[in-house]
Amino acid sequence: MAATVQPALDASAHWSAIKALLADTVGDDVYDYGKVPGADGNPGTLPTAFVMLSVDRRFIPSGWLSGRTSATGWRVFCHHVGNTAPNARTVGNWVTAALNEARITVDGIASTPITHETTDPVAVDDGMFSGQSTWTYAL
Amino acid sequence: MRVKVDYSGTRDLESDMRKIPPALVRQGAKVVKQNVAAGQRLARQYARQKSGPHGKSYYKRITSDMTGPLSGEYGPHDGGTPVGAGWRHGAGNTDLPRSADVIGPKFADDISKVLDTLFWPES
Repeated sequence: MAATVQPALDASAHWSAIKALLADTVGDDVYDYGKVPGADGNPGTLPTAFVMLSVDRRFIPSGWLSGRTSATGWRVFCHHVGNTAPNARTVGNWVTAALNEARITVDGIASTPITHETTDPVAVDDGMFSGQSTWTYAL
Repeated sequence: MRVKVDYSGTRDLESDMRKIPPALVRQGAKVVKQNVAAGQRLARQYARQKSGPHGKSYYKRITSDMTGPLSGEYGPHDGGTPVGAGWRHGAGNTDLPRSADVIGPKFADDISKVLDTLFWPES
């Protein structure tokens, strides 16, 4: 039996919507953590440039003593990874180009513009180069 | 009919307002300190809860400091690898953003309570 999730609360729908935004600039190389081909024992060869994506609900304060909120807050976490430092930075730029100030629509509800929160610089990381960025939005 | 005006009220007002700046520093510093400490505690809890065997002691690296009479900061101090720092090590590290989600609004709330009491002191 599929669990019933209220409108716009399904994290998978948010993940897919963000992935669709990223597809414009990054293409198909957007993966869940642990699902990158050629890593973690997955079949295939490691792409030279890719993005790892997670989207989680975040706490937003309630104006009500009961804790009820009429909006939900979300945080996008991206690792941009490349086989060279310039590659990794390029992927980082693709992520920025796709997400910065963009909006998504989940279950017919439009989000606020996606806002940049933090970025970590590209650094050597386990045989590759990677940096990370986080973004937030609400709907 | 006569109207009697008592000017002493404005003298009280003047002395009350003179008390505001030092009171703000005193009470504001307390609120900043409490919120920095609460933020650090939260970030440590998240770090502890999420760390694997390699990051077991990482939470101790999250420290806090008062950087001025009305400003403070908390965050990782000097090295150590948080869980999720590398791309092979699981979904990224959000210990600090998650704690800021809670502390940001709480701090705004606490400091606006201080501002309220400055003009209407309880004593």
